[in-house]
Amino acid sequence: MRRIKTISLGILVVALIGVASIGGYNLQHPKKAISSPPAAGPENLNPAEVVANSKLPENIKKATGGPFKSKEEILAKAKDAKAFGPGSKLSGRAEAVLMKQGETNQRFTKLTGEVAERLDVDDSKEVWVAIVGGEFESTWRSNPSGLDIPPTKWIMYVYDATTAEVLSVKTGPGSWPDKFLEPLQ
Amino acid sequence: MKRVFALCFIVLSIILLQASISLAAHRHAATYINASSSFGGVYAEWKQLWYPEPGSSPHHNNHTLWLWTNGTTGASLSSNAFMEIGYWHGWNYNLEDVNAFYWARQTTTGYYETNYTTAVLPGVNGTNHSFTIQLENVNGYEGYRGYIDGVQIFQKQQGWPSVKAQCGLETTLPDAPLPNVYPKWLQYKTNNSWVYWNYGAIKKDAPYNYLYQNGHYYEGRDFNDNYY
Repeated sequence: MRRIKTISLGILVVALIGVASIGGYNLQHPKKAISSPPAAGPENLNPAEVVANSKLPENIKKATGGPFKSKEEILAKAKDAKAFGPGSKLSGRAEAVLMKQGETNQRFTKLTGEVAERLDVDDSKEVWVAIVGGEFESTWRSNPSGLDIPPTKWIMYVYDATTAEVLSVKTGPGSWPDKFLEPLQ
Repeated sequence: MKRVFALCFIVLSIILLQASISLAAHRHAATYINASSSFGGVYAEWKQLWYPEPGSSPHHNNHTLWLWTNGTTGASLSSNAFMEIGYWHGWNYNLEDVNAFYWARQTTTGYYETNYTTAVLPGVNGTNHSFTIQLENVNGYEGYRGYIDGVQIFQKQQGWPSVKAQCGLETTLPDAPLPNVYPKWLQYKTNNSWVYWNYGAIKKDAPYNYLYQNGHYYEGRDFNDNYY
């Protein structure tokens, strides 16, 4: 009887270690949201019907076949990242704005108190600016002082609008997201 | 009953160990220079290495040259202002695995930004690259410009003076061996001249640390010293 009890306990421990290992693995391997377009059935399509039923795509650039993302998709990408760490939380605030890279720089130089004067302005490039609010761990930041940086309340991602690659990540004082979105004078 | 407690203790220990590994903070293998007067800039050259392998998300390494700004030295959070330029290998803030050059900065207002660049590419493993941050007038205001292999990567208005520079590797891996993370050489600008950092060879204490032996301007810290 005692042996059965010991064996049962052993099995329980192995099972618990297994569950814990899977949990640890998942912490370090967040899954990316992968969406694949539904497969079309070209053999059954009537060209005249397709033309009649077609609508102008909401986002024309996406229809070019590039990886350009819609507002919803870019927000989903920003929220999925959550600036690393299982301790980070989203607050619900999330917005994305499409603008020229030069305008993004101008808006930020206004906040930092710099004189814009078209610094680093590149008006040939469009970017998605996604702002997400919450409680984000700061261990992802380069930190030469070694001091513990407290969690940050918001993160802004700047994505290349054509490739959806992240170009820049920003964070700072709590009032800045609202000020950033104020109309430029 | 005692056996049950013992087994529970083992299981809990394993879970806690895993959690502590996944939440490990940054470690450094960096040297730093405290200037007796302000710097005009700092230059480093190093052989670009892809290892230690950062492994799974969210781990990464960055080989970086930091220049402290606004007269700060990182003694407290409110005196944390710097410009940095370097190489990023591993997972970024968007859960993408990257191998790229980058620059970043922190201002005295608490603003932090980090940016990738495609103006210069890292190339193959083992390639030499140079990194420079200089104090320059940017549109008539105090500022800094950063260069990789002589190509300007950023220009930003940010306050002078600069009295501290750092160079080395920052990693989220808690116990990775870090061979060959030392820069090939360093220079700093003082009185409008670039001074080679050639007094005293770079000491390479395998497997982790390196140390600049001068006893006057700078000192090194062992990777195992953790924060400094």
